[in-house]
Amino acid sequence: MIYQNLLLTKMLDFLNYNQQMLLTLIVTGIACSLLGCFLVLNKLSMLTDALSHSILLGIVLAYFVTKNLNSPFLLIGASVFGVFTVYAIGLLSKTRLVKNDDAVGIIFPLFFSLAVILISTFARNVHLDTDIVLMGQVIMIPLNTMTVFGVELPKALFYMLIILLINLIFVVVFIKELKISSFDPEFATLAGFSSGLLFYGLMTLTSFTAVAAFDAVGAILVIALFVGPAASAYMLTKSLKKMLLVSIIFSILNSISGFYLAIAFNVSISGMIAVTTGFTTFMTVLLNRQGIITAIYLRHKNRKEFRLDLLIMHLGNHEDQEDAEFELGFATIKDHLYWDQETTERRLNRLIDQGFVHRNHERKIYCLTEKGRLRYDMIKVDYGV
Amino acid sequence: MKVLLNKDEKALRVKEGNMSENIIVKVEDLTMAYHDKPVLWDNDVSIIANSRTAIIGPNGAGKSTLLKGILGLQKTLSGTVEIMGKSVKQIYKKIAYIPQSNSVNWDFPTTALDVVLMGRYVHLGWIKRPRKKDIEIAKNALHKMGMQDYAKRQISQLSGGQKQRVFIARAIAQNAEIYFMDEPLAGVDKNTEKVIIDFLKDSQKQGKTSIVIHHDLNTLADYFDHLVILNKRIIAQGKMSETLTQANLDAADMGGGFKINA
Repeated sequence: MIYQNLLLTKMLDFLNYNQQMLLTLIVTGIACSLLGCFLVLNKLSMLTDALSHSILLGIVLAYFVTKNLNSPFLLIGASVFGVFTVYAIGLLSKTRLVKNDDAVGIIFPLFFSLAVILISTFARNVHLDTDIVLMGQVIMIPLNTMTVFGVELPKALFYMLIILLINLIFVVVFIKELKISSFDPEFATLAGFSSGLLFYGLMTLTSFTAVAAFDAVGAILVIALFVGPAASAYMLTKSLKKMLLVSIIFSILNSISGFYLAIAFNVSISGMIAVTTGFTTFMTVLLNRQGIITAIYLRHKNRKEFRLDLLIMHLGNHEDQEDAEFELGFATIKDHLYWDQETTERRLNRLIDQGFVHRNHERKIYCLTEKGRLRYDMIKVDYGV
Repeated sequence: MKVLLNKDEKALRVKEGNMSENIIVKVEDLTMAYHDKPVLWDNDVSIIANSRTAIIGPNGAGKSTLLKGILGLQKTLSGTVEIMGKSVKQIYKKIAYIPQSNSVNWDFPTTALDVVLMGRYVHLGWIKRPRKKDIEIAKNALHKMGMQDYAKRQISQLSGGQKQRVFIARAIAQNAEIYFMDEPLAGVDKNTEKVIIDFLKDSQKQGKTSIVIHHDLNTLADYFDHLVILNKRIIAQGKMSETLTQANLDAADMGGGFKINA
């Protein structure tokens, strides 16, 4: 035990301040993206926004009770308040007087501004700064340490490791239940899996994670960490397990690249990570299988291929017929396709290069090769002729 | 419409005598509301065991609401529901619900086989993982729907008919006694329609009961043997031959473009 602690201490000593910060960011990112996948799948991304802001009121209220910013009760109190926010939003939208989106937009600015007013009136001399609230204080992570089992490590890192462990256990144990209730909530309810229970379980952990991450990375980055990697992974994967994995990979890449870019340009670390997260998500939008650039590329490619298919069809249809000399003649084929000489030859040459077509010099026409015949038959099946 | 129907007034009414048949789903005094606007008024419904029962009604008649009310998926204002003499909560393993296929997120990252496997979750309960046997059952269910080649396909890449078959395969995997289906034939190809109807007839031979919301009056009498006509209230219910009459359709505001050859 002592030996192990020594080893761990050595390891943490070995990590310099920068690496301690980065490690904390990565751990936070993974903890967030694990839950983020289910938030995205349940279309609850905006609820994260509400949650991450209104927990500030929870933190302030819990601080008034505990009078201690380092108390673990602060964490628990604020998390409970986060769940209460979700419940309040649900309650307000259930009255059917306002829509769910509107309820989110009413509740969280109310709670957030209440918190800001309370801080500026009663807690001016306390380290609860409204700037820090939004952007966090990554730079302070290594300075605020605690000793666990004789090992000195950043407090934020310790908390986030615990949260990561809890989230991981939750997702691994309940992956089947989470899957069925996000895919088909009514079926889940009928099958005996209470969607309400899972929803509030997910929300409690989201709240917990947001509160714990809040101190280090702030209210805005925490939203990016929840939603960005999960949304990217959603576009790229076709199974839930892969989605979880890919979102973790995205999260790690975003943290590392954002961290070093921030240091290089001497800007806010959490701000830069939010930027890299936005950037990778945007690139995924453009480049995924159904993405915008991919769609343009495929359309262009299809159009090209379609022209070549058309040519093969034309050759195949007329080859054995009496009018082949006119339809397929070296000089006359272009007139039957209504293409200009240059385009026709370019396309025919391409097919000759690919081995589908050859020049029949005896009859002075273009003919299909054996490979071309096979392709002709395939095209007929493909297009259903 | 080739079915000849007896227009005799006496035969129009569902006689108490018919009710002596074995009732598997018994709904009494069911009233349901949406935003305080009643959708279903004080309805009594009896579904006969081992029947293929269709529910028809005009748009907004409360067909889906009725199914959801029976299954406890939507709040009821009044009324009781008994299925095989028990409450839904007690008997849920024997009930398979096939929702309208647009009611779920088809972009969900999962495969056809995975969706079918969800039918097994009902028997697994919390936390337990599907075993080899469950995967085998799910594969067989896909096979029965002619979907074995699509097992690993992501669900967003399936056609409308294939999605519906996956849903029915999920119900098969669940091995339920009663199937509740919400417009399973909406927007599916002819081939899938035949597969689904064959499945319903097959299930009947195995002693199972199906309750299906249907929208095509032309095929009604061929596909089903019992009928519930609904327009906020139950207009008529009973055997197809006795219930599918012009008078009943007119009473449900459904007679408009449709005439029964008498």
